[in-house]
Amino acid sequence: MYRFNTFIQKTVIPAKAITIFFLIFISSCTVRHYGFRSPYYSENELIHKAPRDSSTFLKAHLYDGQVFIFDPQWIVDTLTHHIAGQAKIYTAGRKLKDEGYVKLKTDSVAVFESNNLLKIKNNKRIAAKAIITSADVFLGAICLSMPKACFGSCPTFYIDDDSNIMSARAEGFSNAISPKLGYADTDDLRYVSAGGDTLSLIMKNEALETHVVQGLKIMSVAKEGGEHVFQTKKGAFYAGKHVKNLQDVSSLHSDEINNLKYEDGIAYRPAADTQNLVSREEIVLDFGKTAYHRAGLVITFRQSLMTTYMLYHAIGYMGDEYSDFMAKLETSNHLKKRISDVLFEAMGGIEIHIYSDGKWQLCETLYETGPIAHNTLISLIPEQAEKIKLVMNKGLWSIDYIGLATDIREVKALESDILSVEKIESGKSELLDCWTRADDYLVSMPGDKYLVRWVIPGKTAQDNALFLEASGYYIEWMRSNWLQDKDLKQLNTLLNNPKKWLRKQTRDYKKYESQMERDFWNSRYLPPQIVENH
Amino acid sequence: MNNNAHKIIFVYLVTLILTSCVRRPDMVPSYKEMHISPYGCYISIVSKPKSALNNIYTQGELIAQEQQKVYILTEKKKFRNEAQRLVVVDQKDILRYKILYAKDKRDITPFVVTPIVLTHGFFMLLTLPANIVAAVMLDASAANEFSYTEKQIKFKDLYLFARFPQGIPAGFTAENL
Repeated sequence: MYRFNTFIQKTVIPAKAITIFFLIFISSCTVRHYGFRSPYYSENELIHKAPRDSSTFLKAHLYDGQVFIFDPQWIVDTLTHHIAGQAKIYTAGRKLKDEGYVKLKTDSVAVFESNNLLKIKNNKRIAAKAIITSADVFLGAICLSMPKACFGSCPTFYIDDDSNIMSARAEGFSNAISPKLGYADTDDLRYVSAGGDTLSLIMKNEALETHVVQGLKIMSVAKEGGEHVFQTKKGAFYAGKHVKNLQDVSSLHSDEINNLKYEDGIAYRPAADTQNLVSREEIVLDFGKTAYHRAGLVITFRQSLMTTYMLYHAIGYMGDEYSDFMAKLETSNHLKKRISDVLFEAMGGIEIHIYSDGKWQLCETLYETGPIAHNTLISLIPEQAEKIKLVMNKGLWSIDYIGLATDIREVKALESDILSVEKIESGKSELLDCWTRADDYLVSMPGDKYLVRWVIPGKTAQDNALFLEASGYYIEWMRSNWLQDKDLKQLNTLLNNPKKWLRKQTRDYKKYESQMERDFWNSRYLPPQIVENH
Repeated sequence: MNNNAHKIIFVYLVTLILTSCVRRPDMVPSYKEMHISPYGCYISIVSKPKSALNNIYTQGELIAQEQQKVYILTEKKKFRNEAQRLVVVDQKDILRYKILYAKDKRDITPFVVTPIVLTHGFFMLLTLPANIVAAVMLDASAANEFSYTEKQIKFKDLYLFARFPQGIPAGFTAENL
């Protein structure tokens, strides 16, 4: 011990240097992480977990021992279950068998292996990104990642001769973003046809969505001359001849009042509050001296892009776990309720309040998701009402018309059978055999167009107001440039405290609010038409 | 400083030089090509005394790892019969192992620079050993950069570096490989 201490004291190598030396030397004995290489045992795992960047090569090991070594530009086609890209193919004996562009069925692969380029020391880990789908479809249009103003629509419906994008008569089941949330949605086509006539509608998929249409029905309501027919939010129908226009609206300018007086496509669309997206406005309606006898308030409205903004942010926050959430939604009633309630909870509907007995009372709340087609609903007004006001989120609603129908009567609708369904592609049409059984459905992909025909029931020459009932659901596609927005913490806030999330988004939303509509319409999955005014 | 101290230091340094020399077998790909190499990594195994392998120093390409066994394709020159090249080693017979999955070329800079210390005169007493140690450490570090020992990679994870991570394809023998 004495000699060792003497050595330490007297040696020219300081004790500290020895300590440092040993620390360096034994550092190689510590466990290291071999994260540059990872295995994946299924196509799904590969899509979700494999890093995607310019330095990630992929090896596909087949059951027979062959290996395909792909360049980093490999893609997975989840529709045909192939992996494709430039690759070298080696036999089990590791002789080079072939090289070039290959397509390999994913179910022939025993294990996938990702490998990153190795670097010497001080190498920073290349950030990983995952891909959901290989279908980076060429849009030929602009789709901004911030804000999320991409066109989204669920199915849109046009009268045969209408081609103007703004003339969409209906948009189906806008809330049904998954199979579990599927439902039937009825829209006023604002179209009258005689009994025995044929109605043609064009159904389009104009967004990056997969539509699953489970049924299309025309509800036909016979009406007398001069009558208007309206539907309630619960699906009942009322007809009336007398519809009073607004005379005045508190707190609005005359231009804005005029926008509400006439159903002409020029809507009252207030901008969102600059401080708080969750703020509300009240407008008191003045119909002049009126007796609310068998009366109903008629409103033609649609949403602004605030809902689309919120929905697309939610999808972005899910990132590469989007499909996991959607899968979980199918089995979780709690998640289903949360997602189906969150938009309404955050922004609310159009509340109709009546003034009677010295106070305001809530009569009914109208709500319909969808920023494309205006829909018309009627809300029955009690006879004791003296005044009516609307309370709604400022900036959420675009209202084209408000009127008061009086002396209305309840009427019944007849369902029309589908005459034919044709798929229209490259100028040709193909007759389809659709919805012959109760569980049939039609799957529509981006860009698809269908011509659907019905025969209007009822007496010949009897006018019928037509409504479209569309049932089904749709799946929103994840955009590759949204994946980087993954943020589960924000998602949690959005789902569980949506008002707080909206308040925080105010500044960003306001920055782009005015141009959002234009960008939205210009990002349809079809040759775009520039929206001049509406 | 007395002669005893000099001797101790010299022995110490020689030991370091010897222990840090690591083979860089030809079959190991360069780190720049590891990600596209179709082969398994290089593995060297030291078996336990009195094990079935009888102290055989088994080394070669890691072909597969299945359950408690590894399959190694040993170097040609060791065997006349091709079929004998594929060696199966049971985990219970393994004392320790080391895999080398990539290599870097030797950095000769320290060995070029080190002679300069001869001009340091008296201070060479300090700088020469420091330079030698640094050079050896750098080379050892570089050689070990792309290797794992049994302390750093679990036996069950060796398959990640095998030629067939999915296991030996049915019906394959050393002749096929």
